[in-house]
Amino acid sequence: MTAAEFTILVQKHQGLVYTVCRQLTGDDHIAQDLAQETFLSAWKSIDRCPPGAQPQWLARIAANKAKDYLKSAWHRRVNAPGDEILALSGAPPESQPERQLSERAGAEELRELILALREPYRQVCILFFLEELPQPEIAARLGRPLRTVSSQIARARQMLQKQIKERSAGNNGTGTV
Amino acid sequence: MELELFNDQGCLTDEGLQALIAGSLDEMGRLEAAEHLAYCDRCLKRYTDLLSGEVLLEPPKDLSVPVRRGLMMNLMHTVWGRGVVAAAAVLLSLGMWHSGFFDYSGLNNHGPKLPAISQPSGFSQASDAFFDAFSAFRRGLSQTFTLSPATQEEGHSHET
Repeated sequence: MTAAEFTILVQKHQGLVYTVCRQLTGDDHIAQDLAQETFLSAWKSIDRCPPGAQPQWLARIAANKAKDYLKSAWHRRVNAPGDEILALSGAPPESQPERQLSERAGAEELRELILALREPYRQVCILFFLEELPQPEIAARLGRPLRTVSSQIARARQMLQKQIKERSAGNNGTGTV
Repeated sequence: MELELFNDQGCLTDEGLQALIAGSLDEMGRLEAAEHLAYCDRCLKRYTDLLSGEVLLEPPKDLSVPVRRGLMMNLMHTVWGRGVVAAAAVLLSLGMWHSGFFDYSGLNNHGPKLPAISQPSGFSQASDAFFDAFSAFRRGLSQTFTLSPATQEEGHSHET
C-alpha cells in the first residue's frame, strides 16, 4: 500500500477509529492521540489486514490502544502509596495473596463471595481460586488472552479484599453495639 | 436496577454496548469493555455495526496529516536513527512552512487553509514519494533480514 492509499484509508475510517477511542476513554484529547497511534500501528501490519475487514481490524487495534491506556491509568491510581495492594505485594514470597484472602475470610466465605462475583470475573475466579487451575489453562478454556486473565484475576482479588474488609468491619461494628 | 455489562457467557450485553455508546459507563466499565473488545470477534462486530450514522463521531481535525508525519518519522528513525530524524524534522517543518501549511492569514474570513489531501500540494506529493521510497527500502530490508521476534509479536497482538 502506498502512502497516498494509506492516507485515503485514514480519511475513510478516522471517524470510526476516533469514535471507538472516544467512547472507550471518555476523553477527546486522549482519543485523538490514540486514534493517531492506531493508524501508525495499522501501517506496520497493514499487509495482515484481511481483505474487506478494514473497519473491524482498525476498531480492534483502537480497542487495544484504549485498553492499554485505561489499564495504565488504573494501575497508576490503584498502586498509589497507601493502597492495600501494596501490602500484598510487599508480603513474603511464600504467602500467596489468595492464601491471605482465604485466611482472612475463611474458605466457605471466600467461595460464597467468588460465586457472587459478576462477569467477567466470576468464571475466571472459579477456575483460579476454587479449581486452582493455572492461568494459561484458564486462558485456553475461556478463550481469553493470558494477559487479560491475569488482569482480571488481579482486579477480582482487589474486589474480594474490599468485600472481606467491609464484612469484617461490619462484623466488628455489630459486635461492639 | 444495576446495569449488566456482561452476560453469563462473559460477552457484552446489548444494554452494555448501548451504555458504552451513550457514554454512561464509568472508567472500570470502559476498561472491562475495551479488554473484551480487544479479543472477542463477535462483540467487536456487534459494536462496530452499531457505530454508524449519528453515533459516529468526527475527530476535531483531520488525522491524516499527523499520521503521515508520524509515519515518516518512524520510518526514518528505523532506517537512519535519531540524528537524521531530528534533521529531517527541521527540514520537514521548513518545507511545510514554505508550502503555506502554517499559513493562517485567512483564519478570520475563511478558516485555516490546510492543503487538501485529495488534491495534494507539491510538497505533499514530494513527501508521499519520499515516504513510498522509504517504505520500499524498509520492506527490502525486511525481506533481506528476518524480522525481530518483538516486531512480529507486536503485529500479532492486534489480531488476536
